[in-house]
Amino acid sequence: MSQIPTSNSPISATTVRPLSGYVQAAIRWIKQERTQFGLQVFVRASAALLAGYVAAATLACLLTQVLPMPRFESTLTANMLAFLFYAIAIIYAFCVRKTWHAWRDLTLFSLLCFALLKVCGQ
Amino acid sequence: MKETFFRTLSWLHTWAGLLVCWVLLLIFFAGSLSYFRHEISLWAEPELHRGAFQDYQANQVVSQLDKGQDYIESHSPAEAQRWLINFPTQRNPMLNFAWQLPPEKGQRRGKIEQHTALADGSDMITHVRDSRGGDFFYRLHFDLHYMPAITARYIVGVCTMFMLIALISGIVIHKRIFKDLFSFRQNKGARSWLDAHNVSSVIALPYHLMITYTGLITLMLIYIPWTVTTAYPEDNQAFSKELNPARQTEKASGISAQQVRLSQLLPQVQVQWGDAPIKQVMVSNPKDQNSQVTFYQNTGKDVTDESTLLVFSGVTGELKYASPHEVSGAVVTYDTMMSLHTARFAAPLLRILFFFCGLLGCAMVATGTLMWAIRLRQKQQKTIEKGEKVGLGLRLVEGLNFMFILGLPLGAVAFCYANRLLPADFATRSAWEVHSFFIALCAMGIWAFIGRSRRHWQVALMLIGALYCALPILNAFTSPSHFIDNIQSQQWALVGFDVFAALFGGAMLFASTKLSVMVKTLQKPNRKNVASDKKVIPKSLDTRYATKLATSSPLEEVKS
Repeated sequence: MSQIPTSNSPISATTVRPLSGYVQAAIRWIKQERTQFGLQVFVRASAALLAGYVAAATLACLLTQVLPMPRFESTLTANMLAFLFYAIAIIYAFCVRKTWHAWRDLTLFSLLCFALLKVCGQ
Repeated sequence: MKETFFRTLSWLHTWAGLLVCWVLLLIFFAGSLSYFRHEISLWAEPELHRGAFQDYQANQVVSQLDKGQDYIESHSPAEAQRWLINFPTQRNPMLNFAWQLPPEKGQRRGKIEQHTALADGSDMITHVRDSRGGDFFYRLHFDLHYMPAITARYIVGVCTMFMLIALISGIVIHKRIFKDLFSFRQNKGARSWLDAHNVSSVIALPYHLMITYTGLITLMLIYIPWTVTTAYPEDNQAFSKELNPARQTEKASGISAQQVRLSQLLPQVQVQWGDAPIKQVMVSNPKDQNSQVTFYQNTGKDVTDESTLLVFSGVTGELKYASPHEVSGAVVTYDTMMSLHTARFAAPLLRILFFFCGLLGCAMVATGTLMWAIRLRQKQQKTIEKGEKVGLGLRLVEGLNFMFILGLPLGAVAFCYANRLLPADFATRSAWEVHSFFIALCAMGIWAFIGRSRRHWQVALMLIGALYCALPILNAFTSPSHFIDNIQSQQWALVGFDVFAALFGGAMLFASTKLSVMVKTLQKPNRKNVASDKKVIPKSLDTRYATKLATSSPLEEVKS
């Protein structure tokens, strides 16, 4: 950082100017509406597919422990319901108001399920 | 995502559906054909079409078992892993004696050698052409082809999940779900495609939901294995043992032993089942200390997937396992879901209904993606009129539509032609039958490069329709029994194959002539209309029909 103001020497001027140009171009690119939308889609879609999967799977794992049935039956039941949870998680990830909340909420939910699973598993 | 929940789901519906639509079309198409897996297999082996058909006869079972055991003992190699005696059923009206060889290197299952008895008991049919028949479409449905099965199953799983999301969001954005069931506006361009999409989706909506969800459930232990590892931390084997209590066949001990006579076990079977028909008798590890004999009952119409079976020791003849009559609710639910997906319980009429619903699913996917192509073209209409090039996205969508919507039926018919026209003793014929399916699909892809206009659709539809209509003729010339013979011998599976091929081909020819009429009317009066509107008339046909489309976007209409 301290080197940037000393742009009087010809060498640093040639190296710094294009760099800052790239940064500015990148900022302009990010501020574009299209890019904003694309990033939003990427964040939400990744949350839906990855975090949603983890959330659905951990909830299903939790259910295998807490459902009041023999463990074979609870495993089957939980596994059959898991896809419903996954579908709900995906739709939630696309419909939650703020983009980054998709990741936050689904991760928190997975952590909660995981903690409960650890408690119930003992 | 968007301003409202409604708009977000509308956006989600479009993209979830479109990203995977061509794979979904392939899955739907192969799945629909798999309902008639055994019938297609039967058609693909014309050597069996004469003299082999017979009904199940309860009083013959003892002698058939004896005969089968003797035949297999004298004909099968000593290393055979399994002996199989298949009794005639409604869908497989033949008596088969078969044995399974040990798997070769790199293969999971050993080859099954199958000999079929003539109905009069005089002789056996030993040389049947090598064909995968309906099994190809069954495997294509979830294992795809040219890739490891497990990779394919993950791909299919992801696509199915997309489909589930598209269905749920489709229901939410569809406000007038009941009203639209009765509305079909003909010749209104994109509006008509939307109506067709709505009708094909809504009529079979329960089926679509059921088939998508149960499809996920059939492979759920691959997609989400973590529940089992949580509930069974010590070993997963315990779970699969509870899931399939009878399937845990013991390994061969290597100590040879005298095989029990199968017919001697029949009194024990009758004590358990009464006179219920037997579907199959399987001897695993024959002539070994650990040999097992399993009797499978022909349960026919029960809406459950779990087979009713009895397992005996192959040496002492002692009953080791009988499938339980009372099972828990979760297991019954799981079995029912599996069975609903595979439709193993379905009688012919219900099976046809399932098949028809499957075709409606194909129509739903196809109309959805065609509508998308039309909307894309509408959007680009102005720039195209200015003489600019058509966008890459639009060309890709139209090309893939052409390739898959026309290529899949062409592939299936190419498979049938290859089955009959390749020499019966050609070494890799069953592989080349499969290749011909994909060659036909690729051919349509290449055709799509050359042109995708209405004229091309019309010619391609005519070609495919003609090929389907000619299938009964092909069958008459390349199998020992033609259509009339099959009616006389009451072989409804073979009759049905011919009838369906003719109907399907006829429908395609009808669509082709419809298209040619539309092309002509578009060429003549519309040229004047468009000219009076002082619009530039583009030269290619596909842009011409796009000018006729309603200007308002169909989905926007639904949204408002």
